[in-house]
Amino acid sequence: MEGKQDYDLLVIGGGSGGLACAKEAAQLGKKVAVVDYVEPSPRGTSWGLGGTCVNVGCIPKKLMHQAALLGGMIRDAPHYGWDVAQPVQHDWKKMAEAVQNHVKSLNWGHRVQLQDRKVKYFNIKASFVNEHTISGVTKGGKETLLSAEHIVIATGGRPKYPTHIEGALEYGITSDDIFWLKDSPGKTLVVGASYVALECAGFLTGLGLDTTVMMRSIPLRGFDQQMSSLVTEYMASQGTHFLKHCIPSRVQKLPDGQLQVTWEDLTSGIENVGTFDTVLWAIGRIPETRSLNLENAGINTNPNSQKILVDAQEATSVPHIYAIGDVAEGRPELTPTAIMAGKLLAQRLCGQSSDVMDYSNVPTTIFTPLEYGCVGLSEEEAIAHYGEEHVEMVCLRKPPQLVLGLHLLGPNAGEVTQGFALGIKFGASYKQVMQTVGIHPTCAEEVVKLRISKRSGLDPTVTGC
Amino acid sequence: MVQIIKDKDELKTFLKAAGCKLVVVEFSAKWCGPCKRIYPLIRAMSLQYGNVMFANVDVDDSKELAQEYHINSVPTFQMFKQTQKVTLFSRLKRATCCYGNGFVSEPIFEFCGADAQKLEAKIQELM
Repeated sequence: MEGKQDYDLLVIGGGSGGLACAKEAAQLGKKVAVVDYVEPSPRGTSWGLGGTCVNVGCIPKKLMHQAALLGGMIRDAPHYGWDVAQPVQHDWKKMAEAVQNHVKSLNWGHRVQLQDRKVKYFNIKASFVNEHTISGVTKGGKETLLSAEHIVIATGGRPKYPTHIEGALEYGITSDDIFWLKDSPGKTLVVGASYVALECAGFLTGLGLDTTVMMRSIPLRGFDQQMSSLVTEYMASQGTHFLKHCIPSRVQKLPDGQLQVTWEDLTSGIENVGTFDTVLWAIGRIPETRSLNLENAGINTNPNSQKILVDAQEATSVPHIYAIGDVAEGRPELTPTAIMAGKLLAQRLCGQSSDVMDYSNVPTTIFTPLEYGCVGLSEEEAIAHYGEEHVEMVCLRKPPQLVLGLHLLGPNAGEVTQGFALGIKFGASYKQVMQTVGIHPTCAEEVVKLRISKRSGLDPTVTGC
Repeated sequence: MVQIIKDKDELKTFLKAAGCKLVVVEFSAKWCGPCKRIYPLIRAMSLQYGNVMFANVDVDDSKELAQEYHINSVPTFQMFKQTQKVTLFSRLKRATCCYGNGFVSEPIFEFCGADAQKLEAKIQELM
């Protein structure tokens, strides 16, 4: 397209993917602008620059998970000789303030980084006017028009509300709100079986709060199911209540301020009622595409998920418009993949590289009380792909027995899985795993000591060294 | 007393009103732990050094001002005086500064970090 545009690159969304892409492109000499805007949650929660990860995701989640784990360590401490008075009380207000201050310092850090790299930042809500122009509106209603040669959409997603459930919107909160609560959520009902649901329920329980998880069917759909049930079993042993095969039908507010939830037990068909201080919906996320006016630019979305359709180059149906991160169809909803995809995209746009993002063998970890780290295929996926007779311990039976996936449940699972991800990404075989000496005493060494297959039926429980 | 400064105009007014006095502007944030810790010490200094003017800018409330002065971390202390730089020339000029009508918008000194001792030493040196 001829004519001078305001910017070489305009990034819509100042989250993990958007900022990484913008900063990389600026560093490579392009004139870049980032527009970021946070529509307040139904409860009114809002936050600064940095996206979901920084403000209402990974960061505050890991901090609260750590807070909960510390509680466990304090309880164990006397057994190791420490003189710690029991029981120890947790002050939500104090923790919340510390977490929120840390998040705000990260918002600041991102703003400074953009300034340093000469990326122009606008706190405006963007929507497409045409394929090279967006209209941005400030909180106060002032409109600006911005045009760019290339546009990257990285607007991410937001939690879903079950609007068909009476009282859900008025009385429930989501992960957008939980990390910004000034006061303790108290007795909480977490509805959902996602990792968001389980991670939140996990740290709430660890902090000493009466927590219940209500699930319609299986936990952690898409993840290895054997591991997923181990995750929930552990949580139950730590005090999290589980209402399995139940679906909520109504949320009402009681005169004393508490919430009354009515639900149906799908197994018995019986309707039950319970009282909670807080109801947290963790039933999934929807992409932030509704108010972008994508049709004005001719950008196609998946009609079911509403996510933006992209190719291997992250390009949308419009050649100079791209989409990365949670908003793009078929991509993992993870910060590191969004960041890497954003950087590679910037490099390609600046002619520095032709590498595309490799989304295979992406390691990840669920930070439930007992952490679950994994990389590669789940057992179900491996069987579906290769056939049951070919799969053993999530590696191929045929020599050299390529490792297809690794699943690890235990403390610091994320730290442990990271190292193994390197080996798996570059085609480690089971033979190579067996040849690797373990570090003793650690939990990680169990990976290289794996010798018992599920098919053998033998008991894999480790008793001695 | 520590004057809260919200924007460029307020800073201009404050610097002008300072005349030949040393002005200490602290750029801080509500979420910053070290800023909270050093606050009572600054307040005490503002009461102790009557001929030094103290001001505070919150980097979140006054984003543009923080950006204009290239604030990268908090707390950052910037000191202003009628003279542009502390050079031999400006020392001579200082003797006649009160007769000038120029006002300065660039800091003569800056440092980052909640070091109260360092701050006080510099104030004593420049005031």
